[in-house]
Order: sequence, then C-alpha cells, then structure tokens
Amino acid sequence: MALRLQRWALYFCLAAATFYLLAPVVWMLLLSFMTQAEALSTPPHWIPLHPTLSNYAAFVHPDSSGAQFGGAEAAALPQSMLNSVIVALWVAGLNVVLGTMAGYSFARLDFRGRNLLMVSYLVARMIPAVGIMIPLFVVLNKLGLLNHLASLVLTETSETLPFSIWLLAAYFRTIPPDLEHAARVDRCSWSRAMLKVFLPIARPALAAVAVFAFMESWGAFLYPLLFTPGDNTTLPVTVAGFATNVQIDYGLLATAGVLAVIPPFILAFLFQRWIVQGMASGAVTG
Amino acid sequence: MSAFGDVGTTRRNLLKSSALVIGSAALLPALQSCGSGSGSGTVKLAGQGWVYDPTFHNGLAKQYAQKNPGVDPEFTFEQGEKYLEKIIALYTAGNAPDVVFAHDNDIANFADSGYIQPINGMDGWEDSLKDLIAFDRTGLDYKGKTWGMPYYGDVMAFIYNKDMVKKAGISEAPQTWADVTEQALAIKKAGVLDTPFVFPMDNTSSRHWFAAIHGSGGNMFDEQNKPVFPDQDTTALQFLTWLVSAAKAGVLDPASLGLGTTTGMQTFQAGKAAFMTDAHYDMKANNDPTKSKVPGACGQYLMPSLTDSGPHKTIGFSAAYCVSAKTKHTKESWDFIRYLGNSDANRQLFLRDGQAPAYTALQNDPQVLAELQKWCDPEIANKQTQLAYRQNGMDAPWFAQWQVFNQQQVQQAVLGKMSPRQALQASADKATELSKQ
Amino acid sequence: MITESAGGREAGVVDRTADAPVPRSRGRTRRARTGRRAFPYLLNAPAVVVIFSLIAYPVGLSIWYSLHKYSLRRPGVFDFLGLKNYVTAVTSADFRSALWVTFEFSAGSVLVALLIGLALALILNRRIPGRRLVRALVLVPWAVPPIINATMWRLIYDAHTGALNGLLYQLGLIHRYQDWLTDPRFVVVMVILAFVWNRVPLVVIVLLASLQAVPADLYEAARVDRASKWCQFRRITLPWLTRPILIVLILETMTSLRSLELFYVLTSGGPGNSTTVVAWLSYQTSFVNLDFGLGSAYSYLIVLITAIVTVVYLRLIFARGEVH
Repeated sequence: MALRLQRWALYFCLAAATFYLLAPVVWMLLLSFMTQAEALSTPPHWIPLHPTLSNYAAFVHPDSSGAQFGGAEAAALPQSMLNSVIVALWVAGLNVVLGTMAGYSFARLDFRGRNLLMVSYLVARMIPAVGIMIPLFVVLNKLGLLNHLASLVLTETSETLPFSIWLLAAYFRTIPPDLEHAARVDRCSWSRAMLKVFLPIARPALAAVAVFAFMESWGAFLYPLLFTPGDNTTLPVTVAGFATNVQIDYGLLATAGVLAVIPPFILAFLFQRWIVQGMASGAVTG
Repeated sequence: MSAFGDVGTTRRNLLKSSALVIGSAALLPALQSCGSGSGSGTVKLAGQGWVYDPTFHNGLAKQYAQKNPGVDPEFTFEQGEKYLEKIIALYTAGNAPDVVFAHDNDIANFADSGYIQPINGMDGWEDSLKDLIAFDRTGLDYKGKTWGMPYYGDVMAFIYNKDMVKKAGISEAPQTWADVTEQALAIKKAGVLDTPFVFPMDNTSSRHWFAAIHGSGGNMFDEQNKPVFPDQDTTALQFLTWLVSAAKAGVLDPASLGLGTTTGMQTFQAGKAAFMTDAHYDMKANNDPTKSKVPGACGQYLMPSLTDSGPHKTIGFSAAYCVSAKTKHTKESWDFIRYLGNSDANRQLFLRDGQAPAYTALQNDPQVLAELQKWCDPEIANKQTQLAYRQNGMDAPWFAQWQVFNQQQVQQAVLGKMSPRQALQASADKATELSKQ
Repeated sequence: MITESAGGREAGVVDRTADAPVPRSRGRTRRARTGRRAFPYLLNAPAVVVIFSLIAYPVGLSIWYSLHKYSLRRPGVFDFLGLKNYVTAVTSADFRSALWVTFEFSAGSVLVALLIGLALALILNRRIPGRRLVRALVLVPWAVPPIINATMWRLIYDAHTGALNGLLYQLGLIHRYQDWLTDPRFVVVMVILAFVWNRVPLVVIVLLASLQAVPADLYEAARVDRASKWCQFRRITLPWLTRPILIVLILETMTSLRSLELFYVLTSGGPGNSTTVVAWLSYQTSFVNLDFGLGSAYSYLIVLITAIVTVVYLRLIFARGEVH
C-alpha cells in the first residue's frame, strides 16, 4: 500500500514538473495559431476557436500579413535564422577545437601559471556584458568586424570557451593515460594517438561542449543586437522585434518563438545521450 | 559510460559533425560581404533610426534619392528599447551616422553629449518650422537652439470604452477625477468591469503621470527645472491623493503598477479598461478589429481635471530628425532631414500609422480628417491637441534618472507603503539632490 | 617505459602521472625540454587570444571608467576619482536594496532550479515507462533563447489576458485575476520561476549524468544490508551528488548574477525597486543616467560578488574532496 502511494506520489511529481516545463511551450504553440484578437480572450481559448495559419503564412509571404510592425521582422526571419545557425555552428566548432587544446593542457600537463590561467578564464566569464559592451563595440569597430557575423562568433566564443575548457579538462582527466601510452607503444605518433584514440574516447564530452556552446550562442541577445544591424542579425533579435515598446503581436511573436526553438531542440534531442555522458565526468570529478 | 568501445562509429560520427562545421565555414565569407563601395561623386548618408515602420522611412529615402541623384541616403534601424545604447556605441566608436532620430527627451542628451548640431542658420531653417503646432515647435528646442525637423508629435489622450459606459447608463464626459471615480463605481456596480480605471505607471510610463498633472493645469517644475511640488504647486499631491483613493475604492486596476504604454494599450484592447490614459495614436489599433477585442468602442474625452474649471490640458510628445554633429556632409544631411520632416512626409506617416502630424495646416487637411474619422472624433482630438504642452523639466540632465525614481515613489504610494506626501517629498528631494551634482 | 620518451619527444608531451622520460642524448633532451615547456602554452594560445584579446581592452577601459567621473551628459569632464565611485556605489541605499534583491533572486533561483532538477533527475534515472520521451521533452526549455523566454512569460503572467490567470481562475484556485508582476509579494517568485524554467534542463542533465555514473554495486551492497530507500538515498546517492550539486550551484549563481533579460522584459526593476538587482542597477546607471563611471563600478562589484561566492563554493568542493 505504502509502495503504491509512493509510486503515485512519484508520478504526481513527474507530472507536475513536466507540466511546468512543457505548458509554456505548448501555450506558445497554441498562440501561434491564433489571431491577435483571439489571443486576448479571457478566459484564454485553450483550443483556438478560429485556428489560423496566417501567422505562419506571414513568414512565407511577409507582405501578406499586412502587419505594420511585424512585416519587416517577418521578412528578416529566414535570413536571421540562417545567421543564427551559422554563428552557433562556428561557436560550437571553435569551442570544441580550442577547448580541446586548452583542456588537454590542464588535464595532462604541468606548467607554470596553470592555476592562474584557469582562474583568469573563469573570471573572464563573470564580467557582465552590460559593463563592457560599449568598449567592446569600439574594439570590434577598430577591427572592422562590426556588422559581420564574425563579430558574434568571436564574442560568443569568448563567452562560452571558459566553461568548455573547464568541462573538457575534467573529462580528459577521467581518460586513463594508459590508452595514449598503448597507442604510442604501437609506434603511433602523438598526434595520431590523439586523433585515433584520445579524441574518439572524449566524444561525449566534445558533443556536450558543442551543444552547450551552440545553445548559448543561439540564445545570445545583447551582442547581436548591438553588433549586427537589423537586417543581418540573429534570430533572438528579430523575434524580440515582435514585442517592442510600440506593439506586441502575440501571434507573430509566438510563431517566431516556435520557429526559434526547433533547431536547437533537434540538436539537443539528437545528441542527448552524448551530452549526458559528457557532462557526467565533468560533474563527478569537478 | 559503456559507449567507449566502438571506435569505428565514433570516428564516422565525428567526421560527420566536423563536416557540418567546415561546411558552414564556407558560408561565412559569402554572408559577410557588406554593402560598401559606391559610385563616384555620390554622397552617401547614413541614417540611424529606431524600428517603427521601416518600410516608410526606406521609401522616403528612395524618393529622396530619386529627386537628388547626387545623394544616396540609407537607414539602419535599431529596436526602440536599445536605441540609446546603439547611438552611444556608434558615437563612442567614432562611427557616427549623418542623420539620427531623436525623441524629444533625447534631444537634451544628444546635444549635451555633442552628438547632434543645431540647425539654426542652416538654409531656410526658419521657414521650414514656421507652421508647427506649439508643443511640436518647443519640442525641437534646447538651450535656446533648435535641433531638428519634426518626425511626428502626438498627445496623451484620455480614452474610454463606449459600450461599457453605455451599459452603466452614463452619457456625460467626466470633467473631474472625482467624476471618474463616480462613473467607474457605476460601471463596477453594473457588473461591467471590476476595476474600470487603468492608469499605466510602471517605471517607463511617466508620460501618463505628467498628462494627468497637466490635465489640472499643474506642473512639477518651473522654467528653471526647479521642483515646485508638492507644496508650491499642489496639483501633483492632489492628483496622487486621488489616485490612492481610487485604488482604495477599488476602481483603479492594480495591474496599472506594472503597465507601460504598450501593455496598457493591450489592456484596453482586451476589453479590460473602461477609462485609461493612452497615446492618442493607439486609438487606431484600439478600434481595429484585427488587433482589438473591442473594435470601434474606443472613444476620447478631454483629460479630466481636479476641479470643474478645467483646464483639461495634456502633454504633447514628439520626435525629430537631427543632423549629426560628426557628419562630413552637413549641408546634404540638413537637406535630407528637411525632406524627411516636411509636412507631406508627416501626412504620409499619419495616413499609414496614425501618429499625428506636427503641422497646424494638416489639422484641417481633408485627407487627414477623413482618416482620423475612421478611428476617433476629430473635433475632440484637435481640441485636446490645442491644449497640449511640452512638460517642464525634460531639459534637465538628470530628468531621465529622476523620472524613474518618481514613478517608483508613485507606485509606493499606490501600494500604501508611503503617504502621497512622503512619496512626493522624497521625489522632490531627489530632484534637488540630482540637480546639485 | 622507455618507449614513452619516443612519444614524449615528438610533441614535447609528458604525462603528469607518467614517469619522467629517460634521456638519450643531451642535445635532444634540451630541445625536448624547451618544446615541452612551450607546449602547454601553445595549446592555450588560441583560447587566450580569443578570450582575452577581445575583452582585455574593454575590461581595462571600463575599469578605467570606473575610476573616473565620466558621464555622457558632461562629455568634457573626465576627472580621476580613485575609488570614489565604488564608495558611492557601496554606501548608496540603492545598492544595499539591490544587493538584497540580488541575493533573494540568485539564492531563490539556484535553490528552486536545484530542487526541481534533482527531483526530475532522480525520477528520470528510474526505469519508468515513457522515460526516453520525457527525457527528450525536458530539454525543450533549454532550446528557448532567454529573451524569448522572458517575452513568453510576460504573456503568461499578463494580469488581464495571461494564461496563468486563466488557468488558476478556471481551476477555482483564484477568484479574480491577479497581477503577478506588480504585487511585491509575488514578483520575485514569478521572476525566479521564469528564470528557473530556462535553466532546469541543464541542471537535470548534469545531475542525471552523475546519477548514471553511480556504481551499481553500491546499491547492491545496500540492498544486501536491507537498507531502506531513504537510507540508500542519504548514504549513497546524496554524497555521490555533492560535487555535481556544487558545480550546478556555481554555474547557476554565475548566470543568475549576470542575468538581465528577465528584468528588462518583465519588470523594469519594479514595482518600486522590488526587482532592482545589481545588474539592473548597473544597466540603469550606465544607460538611463548615462553615468558610465558609476555604472562600470557597479559592474565590477558584480564581478567581485560572483568571485566571492565562487571561491566559497570551490572551498566547499575541495573540502569535500578531501573527505572522499
């Protein structure tokens, strides 16, 4: 009896937590099929009475919406989505490559200034963007990177890399050094040993780092808003344009939100098992 | 953690994922190609604006370029909330545009920071501005100079829901704030709406507050930006006392504390407000069946006052096109903003989006009147516009900081955490303290 | 171990755990030693370049700002003040209040994220039907960019049309629509719930990862000893999770202290100043008051607070580490 009660309590907790995590997204999905007037209903229409695809159509044919404010954003959405994907892939790639190099040095090598360097990486991560965004703008302008996606790749890599290095270093420590030694016994060069033995073993951590960096970059808002102008910016900036200080279009906003969630979710879903494995050692060994 | 074993699949997967990354590497340079380089002899003008109907401004720029083949203006738009950040960044980086948009409350900042230049003495400047509505004209001035051409100028309006008022059997416009309480109670009693009065007062909506103070002919600052409240001019204190009483009587929607102009508008559109202060141009959306649950129900009264004698004033607010102080093409930029801010462009903007034009002649323009009739009563609208003034204090360098503080004190009073007098005294002290720095 | 030096020599790598390589000739050793010394730095060079070359100047400049009277409204003035901006900041009533709100928000969100994350991780670690699906669905909030998250919750919390009000009203839990974001009693909790929603998946991943790494024989032994479920949890699971939990604490604290989007979209620091956190104060001071001197000082106070909290956590980790 007690056991059954326990089981029900368990399911209740699971259901409550799942509801909390999913209901907002489901609501966003429902809103995306509503007109502005229906979205303002009280009590809310949990199932749209007059479901419409007009919000989605607005993204396919931006002019059809006739929306005074949303129109420009709707037209910009495909481009900004592509931009977001490109930037996020670059950031993920750079995190994997640079993070592996630095992480390896912390996991396997002893060198002067080791701790200082790790602390500096972590402190760099603590600085709030608000404090440095104007000087950063000046630097990017000097480098001629302003309005280029490269500016986002660089700034977002610098934001995410500290955590990646930390995670990878922790994971690499759990890989028995014997494996590399064994490869070298077989007369493999060090770099071949790395490529053929070490990195494949580290695969889960590399995937975790890549996905983590992708997510952070995908969600970045302040930097793209400032560094890349309206028609060549990333998805969050465009989506935020549907809710401005002059107008909020619920339907378009929700639709854009739904579209923005799909690519990173697919990624997270595909790499799910690896992410969990990759985080494991990082979390356990610290 | 048993997945370590199969090295073969691992490598294949790794290759697959790296192919993705490399593939995107090829895309990056292609997308970076930025539109630079232009025909010889043309002057390129960079305009910086906030996002509000970009199609309209791009269209104007195109029209202008066709009429003036030697000049090629191009706009960049930034989201309104982050506009100031973008401007600061551009000027700090030495990347200043030639032409910038400015809200009336930006003009003092931009002028003090050395971002924009006065247009006094530029070719035909006085003629361009002679037909402006009073508050539109003063909105362009700072420190005795004039800083731009009018983008639009609109007023804060007191709006109401016609159906709700009718259901409660009310036919008279409320003259005083006490009338508002009375009518709201009637609406409440009739079971139409539980909290009929909405007064947006989050940290960003001081326009509503100032409009209400002006409604009774009051002011919070004198011409020298010295605070005259709470005692020398008691309007603010009396109004806040009324507001607190309205909250206690249950007619003020408590959600007002967290509403801004946009969210306030949405409250009206959701049919959750019988009376509200709102930007006048929002009436267009409030009466639009694709945006509003209560289309056609939004009407306008004159701003209520504390006493029967009026004067039912309100505040006007405006925006301007300015010439950058850092431009290398002052003459061309001036000519361009003259075009952007002329009366024809003002009319076009109004017909598209509903922001009132800044020119007196357009108030009786047949096209303008025909459009106005679609979503409001032109007679009341024009009457309220004639009673619109620019609020004092806006020129003060500390105004932006103070108004956030003031909104917070007002909220505290409405929440019952401070008395109206304490709240306003704190606010006045803050103004005095800030002006000394 | 002699072959070890062959590999080590080629790339100048020596494992910290391995024996020192046996030298073959003096020349080779020296070259190898220099190479070996430089190698870790070479490995770190690209990361250092990307991270620090980009932010070194901005950080330096903003620290420099924080030591000066620097307001955009008075462009001619740039007087050296030493630490006066920091003194002004720390002694101001605004800062004291913001510090308390920051504490409420950060501690609250870290705690809630941890509780929900832990509960979900524990459940998802069991063999229940539909586990794979739920695991995948838990990742959804992670995919939502913070700015969209903030906007979405604004719609949900709306005092007049929000889904939360609609739901609670229809369930009969409230009798009239509430204004969640203007009532000082609710507002911090509401912001925390919106923030945590975005962060829970990461917590679940980290904790689930470590749960899966618990050696099965530990539980096996406990079962042989007839230890109760609760006892197993307290004696085996919880100690095993100490480190990951501390890591989650560090990560989430760092993120919550820097977070700005929610305050920007949901509350603008109000009502009153009940959601004015230090990050918001820094933003307001710089971009509303245009006082970049004081605004930068607030930013570095955030760095200081974060650093202190992190050091405390790290101490805890290492103290725990010695026990194990």
